[in-house]
Amino acid sequence: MHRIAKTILFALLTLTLPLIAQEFTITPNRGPAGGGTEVTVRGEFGNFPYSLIFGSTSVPATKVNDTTLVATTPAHLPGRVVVTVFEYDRGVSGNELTFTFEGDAQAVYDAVLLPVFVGPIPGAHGSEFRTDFRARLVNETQADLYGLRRFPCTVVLCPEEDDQPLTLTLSSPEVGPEDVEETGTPGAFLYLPKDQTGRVAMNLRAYDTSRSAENFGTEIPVVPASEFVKNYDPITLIGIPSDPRFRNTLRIYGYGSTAATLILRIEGEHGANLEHVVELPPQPDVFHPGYVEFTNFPVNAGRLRVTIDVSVPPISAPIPPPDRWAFLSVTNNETQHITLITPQP
Amino acid sequence: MIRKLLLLCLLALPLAADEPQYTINPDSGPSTGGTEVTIHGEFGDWPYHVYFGDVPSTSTTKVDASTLVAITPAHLPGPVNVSIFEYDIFIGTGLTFTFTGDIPGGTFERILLPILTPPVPGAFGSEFRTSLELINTGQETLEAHGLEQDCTESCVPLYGTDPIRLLPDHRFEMPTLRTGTPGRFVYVNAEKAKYFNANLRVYDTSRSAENFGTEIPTVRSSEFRTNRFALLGVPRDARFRSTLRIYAAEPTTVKVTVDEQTSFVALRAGTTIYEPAYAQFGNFPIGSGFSNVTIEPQAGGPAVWAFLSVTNNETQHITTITPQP
Repeated sequence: MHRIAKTILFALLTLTLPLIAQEFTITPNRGPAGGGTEVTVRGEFGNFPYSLIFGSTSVPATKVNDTTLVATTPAHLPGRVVVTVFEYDRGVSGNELTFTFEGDAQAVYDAVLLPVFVGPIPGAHGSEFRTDFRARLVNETQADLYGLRRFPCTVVLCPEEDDQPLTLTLSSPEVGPEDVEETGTPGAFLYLPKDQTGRVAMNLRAYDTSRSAENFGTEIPVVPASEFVKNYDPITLIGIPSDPRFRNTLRIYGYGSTAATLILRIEGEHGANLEHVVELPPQPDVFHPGYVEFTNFPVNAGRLRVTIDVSVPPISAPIPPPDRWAFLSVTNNETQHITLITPQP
Repeated sequence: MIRKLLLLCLLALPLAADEPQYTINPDSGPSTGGTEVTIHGEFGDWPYHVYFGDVPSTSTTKVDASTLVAITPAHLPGPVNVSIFEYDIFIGTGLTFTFTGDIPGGTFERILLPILTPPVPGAFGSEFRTSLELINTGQETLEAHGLEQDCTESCVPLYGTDPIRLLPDHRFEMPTLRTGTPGRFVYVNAEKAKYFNANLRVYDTSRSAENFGTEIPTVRSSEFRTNRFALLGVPRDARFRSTLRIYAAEPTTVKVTVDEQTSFVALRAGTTIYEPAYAQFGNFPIGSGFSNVTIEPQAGGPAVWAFLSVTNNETQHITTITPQP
């Protein structure tokens, strides 16, 4: 269905649902991302079946008495969500109820990084870089992808529920670049429930639209967060050219709520030995990685090697660093052709 | 003059006679290890360890001044050098031990280099080369089995596949022979595998000023798949040609589905443990839009890995499509 038509239909459905104002409380109002927290909602309840909707995930609720419902939270990505009391066939509105899911999303979800997932970017010599993302259900009958926006939101009432998954089914097994909005900064995290890993194939490609007749572009790996290095392990990239006809961009991603000071050691075949310090910020939100990039590479130093180490914090304040992954893009300054250098094997 | 020569020979003979002579018995055993071998030579009052390649024996006992007894470790099949570690130095013995049988599980990590071929001429004056760079980021020497040294400058390979020895924190682009068919399996000690870093790239020498080439992933055995997987977004545009390459450790047949069209593709066996079973497939539709390729390994069969190369027919630029995530 056309993107605009979908937006209008959603708006009409939302506006026509009658809402009844009430005063509610929820206790507790936070719990683990893995779910299983029993919550009590107090308000005024009639003789109807009830459920609670955490963000966009619904769970049945038990009516204890005319003023009390209890329910068990579902698994949910970390973050604060609106809780809606659903009475029979409608949402009951009132003061805003919220619940905060806490902890590591990887307890119940597998995260994958789309390292470059951005809208069109103009480049040199008339180039325009785009990223195309595809996903397809390959095994089983359903897979839920969290972190994808179904279509560009160009109207006020478009759905902005990031916790609502994009579900692939046998009848609708695939999404392509025309179905999802590029939301990377430049990277983005997607999540699948742990029991659904292996059901979905993905492909991410960057290409220059001005040269698409000569060049299909460059595949960008989709990286499971489980492949990120942990603790103080280094990342090493080799085979990097220092030919001035190419420019190098090192991109470093973090998964975690802490920041890290990174030491970049660059060694050249012909003797260049440099060190740079960069700061990797924490994740700004669950759907985006911490991110820093570096471009100050030496030229004419032969083949380069880059080692990315984490600066060890003082013993008095040990803070575990975020998990990390990095890759380097080598771009020809004239043709804009891109070669990747990623951690291998 | 002749007296001088005779004098030199007389002096040399005792020196040659002082070189310790070693023997080993038996000189072969199963790759799973556990063979008790006896090494005769001259041994002092030092702690000794016997090494088979870069793998130490599971135990070494000095029986007397001329006898060591060692238990072989698990090792890749094939002949290896036997050396003795005397206190703090390695001593070459000139001995070999041949491990027989299959690859022992758990001792070695197997890594696939999907493309490791000699230069290949292509269309429009192109020449495709493979660049392989390795580095050992660990603190101990790491041996990579399956890469053959290019012995064009005085080195003498003792055996068919002498391992490449990567010194600690040493990066080099060895003049290795590109002996892939087109892929190559490399084996490294499993405990040291995380220190083995590689960069594999194919590039067109005729266009190296404009294009640094295409990275080819190096693939751990854990990335091979027994379940169905897919490669997405294969262009049907006639300006591109696509080649699907499929690898496994043993011969097998896989089901390949391109959109709605299914084929069964048989992977031919490699001739050694370093040659993956392999097949390639190029029957892709031409038209508009994109195809999806699904690869389904045989139920109960070996795990499989595959990737697709998309090559522009004019520029010869290569884009890979590999299993993700």
